[in-house]
Amino acid sequence: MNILVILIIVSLIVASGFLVAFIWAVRSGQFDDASTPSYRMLWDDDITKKENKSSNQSTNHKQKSHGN
Amino acid sequence: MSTSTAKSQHLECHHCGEQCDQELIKSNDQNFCCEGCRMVYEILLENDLDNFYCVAESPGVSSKKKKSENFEFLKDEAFANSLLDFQNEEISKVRFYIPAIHCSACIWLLEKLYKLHAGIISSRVDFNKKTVIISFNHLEISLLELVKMLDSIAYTPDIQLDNKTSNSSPYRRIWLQIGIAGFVFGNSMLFSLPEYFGLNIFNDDIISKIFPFLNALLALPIVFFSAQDYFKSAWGAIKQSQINMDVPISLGIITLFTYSYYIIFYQSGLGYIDSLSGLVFFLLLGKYYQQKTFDHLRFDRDIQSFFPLSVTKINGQHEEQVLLNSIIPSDILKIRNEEIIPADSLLISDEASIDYSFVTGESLPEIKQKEELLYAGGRLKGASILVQVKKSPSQSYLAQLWDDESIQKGAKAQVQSTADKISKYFTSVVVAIAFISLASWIYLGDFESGIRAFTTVLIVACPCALALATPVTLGYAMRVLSKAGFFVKSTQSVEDLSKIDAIVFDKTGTLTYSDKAEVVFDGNMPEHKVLAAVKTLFNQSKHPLSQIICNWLPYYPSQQIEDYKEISGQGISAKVNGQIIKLGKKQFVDNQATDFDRKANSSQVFINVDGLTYGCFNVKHVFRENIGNLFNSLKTDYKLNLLSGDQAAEKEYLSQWLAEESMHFEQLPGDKKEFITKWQNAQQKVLMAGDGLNDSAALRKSDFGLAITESTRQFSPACDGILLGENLKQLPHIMKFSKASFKLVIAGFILSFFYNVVGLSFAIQALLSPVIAAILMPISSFSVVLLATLGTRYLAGKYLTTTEKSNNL
Repeated sequence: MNILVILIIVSLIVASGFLVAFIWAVRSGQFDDASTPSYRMLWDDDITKKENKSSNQSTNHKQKSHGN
Repeated sequence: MSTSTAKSQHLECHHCGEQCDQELIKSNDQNFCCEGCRMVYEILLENDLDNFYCVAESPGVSSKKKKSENFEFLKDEAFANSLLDFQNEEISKVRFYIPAIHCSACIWLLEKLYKLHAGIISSRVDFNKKTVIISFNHLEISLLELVKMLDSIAYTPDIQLDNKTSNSSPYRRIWLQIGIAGFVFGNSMLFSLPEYFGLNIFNDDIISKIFPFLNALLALPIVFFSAQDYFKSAWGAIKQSQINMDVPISLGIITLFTYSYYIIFYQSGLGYIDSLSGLVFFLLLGKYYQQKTFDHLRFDRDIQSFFPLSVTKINGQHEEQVLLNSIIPSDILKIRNEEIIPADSLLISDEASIDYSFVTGESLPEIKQKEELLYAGGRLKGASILVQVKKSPSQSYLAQLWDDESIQKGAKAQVQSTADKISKYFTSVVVAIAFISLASWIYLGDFESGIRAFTTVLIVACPCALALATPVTLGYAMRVLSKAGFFVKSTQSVEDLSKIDAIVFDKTGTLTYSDKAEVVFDGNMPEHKVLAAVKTLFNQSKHPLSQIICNWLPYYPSQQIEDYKEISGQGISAKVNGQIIKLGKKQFVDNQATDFDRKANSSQVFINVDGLTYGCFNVKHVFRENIGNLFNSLKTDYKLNLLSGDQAAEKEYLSQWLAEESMHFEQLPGDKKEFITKWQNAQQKVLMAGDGLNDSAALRKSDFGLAITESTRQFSPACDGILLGENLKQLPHIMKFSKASFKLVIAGFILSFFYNVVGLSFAIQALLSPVIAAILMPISSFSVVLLATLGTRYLAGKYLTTTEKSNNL
């Protein structure tokens, strides 16, 4: 039956590890704002930047021609 | 870049999505409704940020209603620093509340601020709170420049003196408490599992010693951290010789804890730690439900947030921006168009037109002459004026009205929730039962069973289910109501709402649209060419009537105007296409003009071109749609009253639904408050529905203050609930729903009483084993939670229809 004692203590230690992780997460503010990240994750930064540049160069030309 | 103004209708602004009905500006093949929108678009384009328009459709904030604000007060270094969250040699961190944040594109843009200025390091938006945290290098960009930049893209920060809120979420503590309680609950149940099944596999000495010991260890964080707030609250109540719901809860927790320790250390049993942790876990969940409110709404706005932060003071020859707090009597201030008079003061300029609608409810501006006293709270319409301060802002008439002791928070704090009332009887009955069973066991000669019965009675009677019924039901009801466009401050407010006997309505802005009015033209309509000129003139003026008529007129391209003059309170005149056009009061335009019938509660604006009077515009506030249905369906259950700051002109119209004696006109803010007090003295629970600052005293005094607003981004006075104007017609359903949900709370009480009776019948016989306690307690909690959520959902389907618009808020 001693194996049970070891198992239970190990399981308690593992669970405590998760508890500590939870406490750390709350303290570092990871739960403070749960809704904004759901919007943020939908923007793919790198891709939009590339598209942005190419499309923007053309609009820049437009602007110049308009200005003249 | 070419910019042209062209004629067209029903085009939507590329930036904000509004109809371009006043003017149409073209830039880069896109349509804009105003200069402001075009400017924002161009700023974004220049900085490679035009993807903003791809994130959402027409996501911009309309600049039409935007007032130009002066942020010069941020030059005051001490004040500017007080706004910062953090500062070192290079980097500053500031948090702004930006009411205009409304969609995903707003987040996108505000988090790309670093592209607009090299001095900005990073920015992060909290969508629910509508705040943005900006880190910037203060050597490269000052706080003032930063605010101006945000203002230039129409995300004007709302800077308040109490702007600094704590960085961390107020929920962090309860999250930790719930997390730890859940952890202990799970583990101690695991240790108690063999006992639930009556298994005796742990004959082993080590195990039978280790398990109880581990349980005892686990109980410590529960009692000393998770359950801490219950003890504090119970102790607070007892000190004031009162009993609230937390008293029996604390009593139960303490008994469970001490009795379990006794069992663990003296009888080598497992104790009731699993029940204890389960109890605290469920209670905390219920409490969390109750605490969760709407982060972006402010229910406790005080008068300070209505006034500007800084004013322009005339110091000898030059003007300077000073903080409002530093104003003292005899200072000379300059007030510009659309600015609010911050303190009771004397008018030095010749004449001024002041809109007191926020204070009195009267929607037409008042004309004040030189040396007249101007009360704080009025908004200047027209040319700038100079005033001399008579009283410091905190002593103005308005502030006194506000600070009136009877309307301070204390007046409402006395309301006791039903749960607290019940717990008073509950606690005494439980304690009585405990002592009676102890006495009878001793009488029977079994002292040990007596002690066991005594403690288990206290344990099993712990009002877990009872305490859960209110927060879960009303908390869920609160969420359902918010989907229907009705936001309540707390679960207690839902309870208050269900007990209302009488309803008092304010008229202007509550029953009528605050931003719409009916315009009727009397006389001969001038030809289009003249109308085009008239519209251009109205567009120039900031007077509310001008704006209403301007919106009413069809679209015309704007005309060249010369010699524009605006005489406050009288009218405007200008020369357009060689014609002299006069718009305004009859006396101003043409004293000999034929009179037109003045319609009830309407204002007239005459039009005169080159000495010929064409006729007049009648502008009248209109009632919200279905106002009759609203009255009819409320009439049967509630006593209805109407209080208005306006003239009695619409009495006849309203008497279709309301009794003559229940309508009161020309009421000052103080009168409104008195009226409510009178009803409350007659033991009536009063709901006050109002909109402006003039209702604020009455809203606070009433048992349920309901603020009606056109959008949650607008100013709303301190209140218990905020209802969107378009949803006012839903009010009867909302009232019915709140009543029904309160009945559901009572049903939850009855259910938990039933569990208590079952549990107590075991307990007094000293038969309660840990197994029964462990089963009974979670089951009672679960069933109450289930009843509360399913029941509320059913009621919501029965009474409420959710509106789509509220989902975007």
